[in-house]
Amino acid sequence: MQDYQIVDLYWERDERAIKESEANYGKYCRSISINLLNNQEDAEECVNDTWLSAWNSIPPNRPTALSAFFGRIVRNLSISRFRANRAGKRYDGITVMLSELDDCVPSTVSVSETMENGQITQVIESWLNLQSKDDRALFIRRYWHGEAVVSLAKESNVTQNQMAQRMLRLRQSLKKALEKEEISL
Amino acid sequence: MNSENIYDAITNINDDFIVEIKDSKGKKAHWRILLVAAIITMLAAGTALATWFLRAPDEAAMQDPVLAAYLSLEGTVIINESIDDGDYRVTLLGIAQGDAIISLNIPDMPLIEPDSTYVITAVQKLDGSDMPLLTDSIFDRRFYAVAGIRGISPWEYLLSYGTMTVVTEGVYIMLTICDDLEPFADRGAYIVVSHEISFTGDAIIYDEITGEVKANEEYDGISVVFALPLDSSKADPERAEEIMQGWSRLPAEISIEIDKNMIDADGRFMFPSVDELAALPVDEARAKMAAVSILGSEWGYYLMQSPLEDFELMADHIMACTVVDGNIR
Repeated sequence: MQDYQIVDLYWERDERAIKESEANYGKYCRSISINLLNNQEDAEECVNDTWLSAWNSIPPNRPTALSAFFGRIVRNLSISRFRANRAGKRYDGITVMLSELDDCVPSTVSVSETMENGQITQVIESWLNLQSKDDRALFIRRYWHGEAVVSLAKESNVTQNQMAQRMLRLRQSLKKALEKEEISL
Repeated sequence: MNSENIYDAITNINDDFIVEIKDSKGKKAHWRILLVAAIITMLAAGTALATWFLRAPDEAAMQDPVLAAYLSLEGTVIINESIDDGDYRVTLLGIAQGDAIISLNIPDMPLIEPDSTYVITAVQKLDGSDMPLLTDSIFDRRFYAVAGIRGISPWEYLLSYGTMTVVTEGVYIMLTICDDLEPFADRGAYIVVSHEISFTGDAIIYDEITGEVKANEEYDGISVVFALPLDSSKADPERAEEIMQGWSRLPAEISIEIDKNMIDADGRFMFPSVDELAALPVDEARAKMAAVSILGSEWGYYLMQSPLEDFELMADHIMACTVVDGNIR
C-alpha cells in the first residue's frame, strides 16, 4: 500500500491505517528507536506510541512522505524517553550520539544561546545541501537514523576509525557553519 | 545551544533529506527498476497464454491444437516446480521465448518483445479456494515476480522489466518479461516471487561471497526463489556482456504523455483502476500503463503525491524527462 493510501485510511478513521503503518514502516521505525535507545522493550513502546501519535495528528496533517513523518515521531518519542529516564536507565545509542553532537555546538556560547531551533534546522539544511551526496547520506544515517559508526564503516568498506574520522570532519564542518550563522545574527 | 538542541533541529530537517536516504539505502538506483511495470493486466492474449501453461500438465489439454502448437514452439519449457510458503503454493510453470510467442499471431496479443524471455509463475491457495480477482478490494497485497542473474548483486541489475498479471481459474498468474535469458546460461538465473515490485533486502537475502540469493525467512509475506533451468549449451558470454552493457546506458529520451484527466484536483496522479483499463482499447491501455510503469516506480510514488509543478524538480531523477504542458517528455 502506498503512502497516500495509508494517509487516506487515517483520514477515514479506519483502523487498518495502524496495521498498514506497522506493515510498511514498523521495521523502519523500530530500527531508528533501537539504534537510539538500545533497548528492545522501550523501542517497541516508542513504535506503538508512534502509531497512536500518528492517529491523533492525521487529520489534520496530510504527510506526503510517511518515512520522514513516522521517523520524526519515533525520534521525538525516543529522546523524550531518554530525557525522562536518563537518571535511571542507560541508553547508549543516544548518549553516544549526543556526545558526538557536542562537537557541533558553537564555542561562542553567549551568542549561541540566541539561536532558535528552527534557525538551527535551517543552517543544518543549508549545510547538508553543500555536502556531497555520500557525506549527506552518512550524516543523516548517523544522526537521524542513529546507525552505528561501525555498521556505516562496514558498509563503506573502511575501518571504524576511518569512518569515525570522517564523521568528526563532518561535525567540525557543521560547527563552523553554525558559528558563521551566529556571527551574522 | 547544546547537543540536544542540535538533535531536535536535525529531527526537523526537511523530509526530502530523509526520503533521499531511505530511497537509496541498501540498493543502487538503476534505470531498469524505473521501468518495472506495476501491473499490466487483463489482456486477453495474456490470459490465454497463462491458461495454456496452467493446463499444460493435463493430458486432455494436450489435445488442444492451440496448446499443442504453443508447446511445440522453440524455446518453450514446461517446468511445473512448486514451493509452498504459508497458505500459498507458488509454481514456476514455464519459460517461453518472445519471438516464438509472436509467431503464433494471437489476436489482441499484448505487447511481446521478440528478444525477450517470458517466465510464467503462478500463485494459488493451498486450501483449494480461488485467489481473489484483481478487481476485488480484498486483494490488498499483490504478488510480483522479479528475475536476476546468479552471482550479480540483485540491487544493481534486474533481468526482468515488467509483469503481466491475470487471475484465471482461481490462480494468480504472472508473465514476467525478461531479457533474453539464454546468453546467461553459464551464470544461471533465478526468479523471486514475493510482494515486492523490485528486489529488496526485505524479501530476499543475497550472499555477496557465494552470489546466491535465497528467500528471507523473516520476511512478512510470501517469498520464494526458483532457479531458472537454462540450457548451458546456449550460453553466450559476449551477448550476455552486451546485454549487461545495455543496462547501464540510459535511454536518450523517454516520452510519456500523461492524460490530464488522470490528475486529480490536488494535482496528484491517479492510478487507473483495473476496470478502467479493461474497458480501454489495448493500445490506449498500454499507453496508460506505460505512464503508470514510470509513475509506479519508486520515484513515481513521490511524483504521484506531488503537485504537477514538482515534476520538473524531479525530472533529472527520471532520466531525461522534462515537463511540457503537463506532460513528462
